[in-house]
Amino acid sequence: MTDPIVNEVQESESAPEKPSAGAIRWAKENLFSSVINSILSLLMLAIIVLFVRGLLSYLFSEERLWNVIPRNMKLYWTEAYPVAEMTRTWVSLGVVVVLTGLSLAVWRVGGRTSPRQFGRTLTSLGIAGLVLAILADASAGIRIGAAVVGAVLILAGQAVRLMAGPGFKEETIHIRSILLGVLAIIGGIVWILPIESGTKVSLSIQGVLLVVSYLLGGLITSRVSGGLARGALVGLWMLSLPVIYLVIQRAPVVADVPLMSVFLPSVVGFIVVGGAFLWWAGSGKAGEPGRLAAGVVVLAALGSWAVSLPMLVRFLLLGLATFALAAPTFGGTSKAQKNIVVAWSAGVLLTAYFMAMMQADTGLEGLQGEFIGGLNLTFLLALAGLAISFPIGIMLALGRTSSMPIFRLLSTGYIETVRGVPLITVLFFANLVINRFLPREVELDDVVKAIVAVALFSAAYLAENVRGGLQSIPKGQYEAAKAMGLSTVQTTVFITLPQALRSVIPALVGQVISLFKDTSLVAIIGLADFLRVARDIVPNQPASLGSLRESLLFAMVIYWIFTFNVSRASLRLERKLGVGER
Amino acid sequence: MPGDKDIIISEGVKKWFGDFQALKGVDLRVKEGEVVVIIGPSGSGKSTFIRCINRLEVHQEGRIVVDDVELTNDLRNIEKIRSDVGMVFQQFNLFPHLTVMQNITLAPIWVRKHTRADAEATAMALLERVGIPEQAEKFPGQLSGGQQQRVAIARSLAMEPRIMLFDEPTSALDPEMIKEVLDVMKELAQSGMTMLVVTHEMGFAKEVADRVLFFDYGAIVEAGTPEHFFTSPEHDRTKLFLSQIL
Repeated sequence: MTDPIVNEVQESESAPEKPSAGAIRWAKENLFSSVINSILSLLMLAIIVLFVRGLLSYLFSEERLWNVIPRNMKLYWTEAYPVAEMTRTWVSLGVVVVLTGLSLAVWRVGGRTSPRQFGRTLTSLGIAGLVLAILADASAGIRIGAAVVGAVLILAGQAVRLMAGPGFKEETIHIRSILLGVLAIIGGIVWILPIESGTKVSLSIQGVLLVVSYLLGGLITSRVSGGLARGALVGLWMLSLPVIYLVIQRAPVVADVPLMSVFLPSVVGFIVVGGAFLWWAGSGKAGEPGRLAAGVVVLAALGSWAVSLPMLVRFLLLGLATFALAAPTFGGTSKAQKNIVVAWSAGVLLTAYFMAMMQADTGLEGLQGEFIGGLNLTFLLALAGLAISFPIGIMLALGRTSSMPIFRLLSTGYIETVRGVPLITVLFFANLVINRFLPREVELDDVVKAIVAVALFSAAYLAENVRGGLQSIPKGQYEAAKAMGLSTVQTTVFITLPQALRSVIPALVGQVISLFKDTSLVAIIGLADFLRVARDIVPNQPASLGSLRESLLFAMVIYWIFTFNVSRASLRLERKLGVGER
Repeated sequence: MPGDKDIIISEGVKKWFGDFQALKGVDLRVKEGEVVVIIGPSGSGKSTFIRCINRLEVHQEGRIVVDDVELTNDLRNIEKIRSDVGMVFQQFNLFPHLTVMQNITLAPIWVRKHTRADAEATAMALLERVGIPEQAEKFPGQLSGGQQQRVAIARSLAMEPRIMLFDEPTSALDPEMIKEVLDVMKELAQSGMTMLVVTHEMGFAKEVADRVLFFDYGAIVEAGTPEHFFTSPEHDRTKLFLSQIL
């Protein structure tokens, strides 16, 4: 006989199905469960109705000059960029669009949704249209149009559910086909809008580029390993920033750059001599002399700023110093040794190329330096600011948590000083004072100064966020790494920093968003960023007088679209990286 | 069986945390291949002592010689000793953002400079040895405590250490998982590894140890073979401790 208590393991039952509550039942349970609750619900409903009515009436009033926005697209986008050279901005946009398409495919953004969900979204949009038709104090044409569109959407929503039949809860619809539909609708709207037909064609080309690059990305993903494709894309994204702003938009005239006398000898010299040095330093046999030599290179790199040398040489020396310090840690095998030299050669070539482009005068007629404005400038400031401030911020955080007093003191001093002053002050300071700290022959233009100011400012905040992450790492992680013989640098690169950055993604994204919006402050040093264009320039165009409110609302929407997408992307990233923490 | 060479020599090791003296002169010689189990009440300094052996803690007086290298502030000595001495922690201390495979191969690749293919082959063999080859691509958070501790042991073994230190390896585990970790440790002891084990598992001490040390108030109170230790302890404090836990 078996022991009566030890039954065989029972099959687990499926959870009881939740009764699907109808709308009326839901309202009864949640909105009208008691007298006070009912009163509050009705009150809030009235407030919402009044607010929405006011907003819609404002937006759709016949006094609104919405037509200024499509008409002034060029100003919003690029401000003073020469009209004859607009192809260059279209090509820039094309680069971003292609990379976006490839990224969407390679990172498999999207997935599938169920007909139920899709139908629900359509129905909600339709209801919004009906609400607009009922509430807005707009012309009859708009109201009838909204009502028709709303009704069609609601019908379409119900049709989707019916067509899917009993399987409407299963996720069978590709989100990408929905996106394709949305893209087609946007394309249709573009062709109706009162803008030049050239612009319409260009925008349509961008749409086609997006779809084609997405399909291409799918093709690549099926052929190449995911890691390789992702790594290559990250590299391309990083390169796209200098390529777009230094090469495509700046139209550099290379003729007056001292290519033969400075660039060629520097590049060859640094690749050959520096490469040989790194080959030796990364061999794992350099030992003490290797560290000594790295120290000498660091001193040379710092000293090069005190004597008169071409900028290229100074930057390459800094790069060589970084590589020399890292080589003993990451070298050791012949493969790693080879990788270090290859990475160094590529780095030298890229640095020289972009330095040459930067030193060349712009070929754009009648403009020196100040050819970037509008949303284009806002993006440049935000992206370049981020690209510069991230490494600096991480260095500062590591410095502040370092056990070496001199680093700790310098980092803490920097962080507390910068956090103690407003960004506007930093911008003024950068604009007026930065040149005094630089060698005499270097003349920075206002955009570069603004980038430096934004980056240095943001680095201090990033550093504090990263430091928070570093402090959340348990002591056991350091001990385990030490016990396995990892060096301090290896522990930081492989163990603590990745975990620290993961744990502070929300704070970092907050910092990215506020950096993006804070770029609007550069108007104070005379740059025409997107907000300044929307506030000062567009409403003062002869044909667009009196359109300040429309213009500002438009700016608001654009800022919101980008920041909202950044935070959505970060949620995705968090979910993805959270895998190991379960 | 223990060899003739003293692989760990500790002479008069003293250590203070602020005013509190954690170690009051510890003398110990461990032979190659010997399995030494350290027991004692909490706060007696037994963990501190084994953490001194790979210099996670720094002793202030006395000297420690591991495999003919004396522990000093010279960084190169410390790095050499750390890569020759494996350590398993009470809280496992696996790296949560890396897979099991990456946890095990990290140090062989970057410290020992093995190729990735070699390191992964060794790691797979070690995972077989600790009985969880199927978990290689999972993250530590997806494993049970016992599995995590076995991964931690495999991670230490991947460095091909000459000595293994165990700091209460089963104290954070649920009872049904303790055995799977102890089995791995027994197998390791039989393979001739030099082991220093701080533990409360008396069964393990009786069965596997060549020598048992009783620590109290920062010093070794009594030492001997398991038979001597569990059947006829000499010291009153040892008797008291054993009566409380057995």
